[in-house]
Amino acid sequence: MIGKIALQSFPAAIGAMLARDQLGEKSAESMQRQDSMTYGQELFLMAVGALFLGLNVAPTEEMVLLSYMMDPWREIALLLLSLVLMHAFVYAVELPGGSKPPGGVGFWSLFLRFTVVGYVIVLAICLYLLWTFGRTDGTGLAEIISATVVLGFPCAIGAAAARLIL
Amino acid sequence: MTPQDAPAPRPKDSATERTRPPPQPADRKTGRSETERATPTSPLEWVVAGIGALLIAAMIAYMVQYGLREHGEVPGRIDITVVETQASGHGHTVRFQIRNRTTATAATLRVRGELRSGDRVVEAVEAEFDYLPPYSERFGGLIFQQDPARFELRIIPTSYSEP
Repeated sequence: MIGKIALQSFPAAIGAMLARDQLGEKSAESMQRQDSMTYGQELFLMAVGALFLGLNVAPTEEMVLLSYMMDPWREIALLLLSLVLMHAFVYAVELPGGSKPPGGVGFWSLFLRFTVVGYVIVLAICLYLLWTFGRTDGTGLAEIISATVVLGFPCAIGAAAARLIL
Repeated sequence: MTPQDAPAPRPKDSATERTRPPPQPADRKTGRSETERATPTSPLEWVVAGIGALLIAAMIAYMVQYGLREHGEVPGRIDITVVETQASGHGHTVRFQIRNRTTATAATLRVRGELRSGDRVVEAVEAEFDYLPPYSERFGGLIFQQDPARFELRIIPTSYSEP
């Protein structure tokens, strides 16, 4: 009972944080904060975003069920799609709060330093969530990877959205 | 009046001295913009990026070789080992481990346990597993009314469906 409340309170807390950031007054300080964010802070934001979406979908049976039904080729395709969407969400699509790549920084630099590293963080969080909910117990490596990639898709979107919103 | 007028010019002078633009802020400003331009390419970030790219490449490579190995496997090689037998309120519980040694997933896997005495089946019970993923193990239990120690115990998988 207490465990359930503790688990539920985590996404709720992030949700409250999101609401304050989105619905509250936009101060000049928060706008400035978005511009002058360090590399570590950007990665941390991605981790928070991945946790927020991940905690909502990881306990469901469907995530693991999907990974049973998908063959490795479709999972590789899903992995690549996650990477592309994560990158496009922040850089290509001109949304308010989207990061403008600073002049002189190439596509590969941004892709490797932010999207790829962010995706690895997302996968690590997915793995942690699956382990927390006991999905990795007695399960083979291939199946764990496959469940991680499937759960990684919503988490990657969450991570990219966190960079735009927060 | 005159004694008050006399000291007045002194603070004014000191005030103008204070408001005189110091040369430092201008230097600091240019310094900051230089560091801002320099931050995107720190060597540590590139090391992290390299490790990340390697990890994802390794994952894709593993999945490709797994995909090449998989085709056409049927979840036939299923091992069952008895872990322990305990007498409980409703009879005797046989706890067993079931292990999938193929790359296929078995859904609604049925396991049948029989107590035999020669050719005669004394008692038969069934257990069902929702999913048995590839190279994974699950635990289950069969509850017999008779004591399994007095008979020959046989546990076999009988059916499954493909998810």
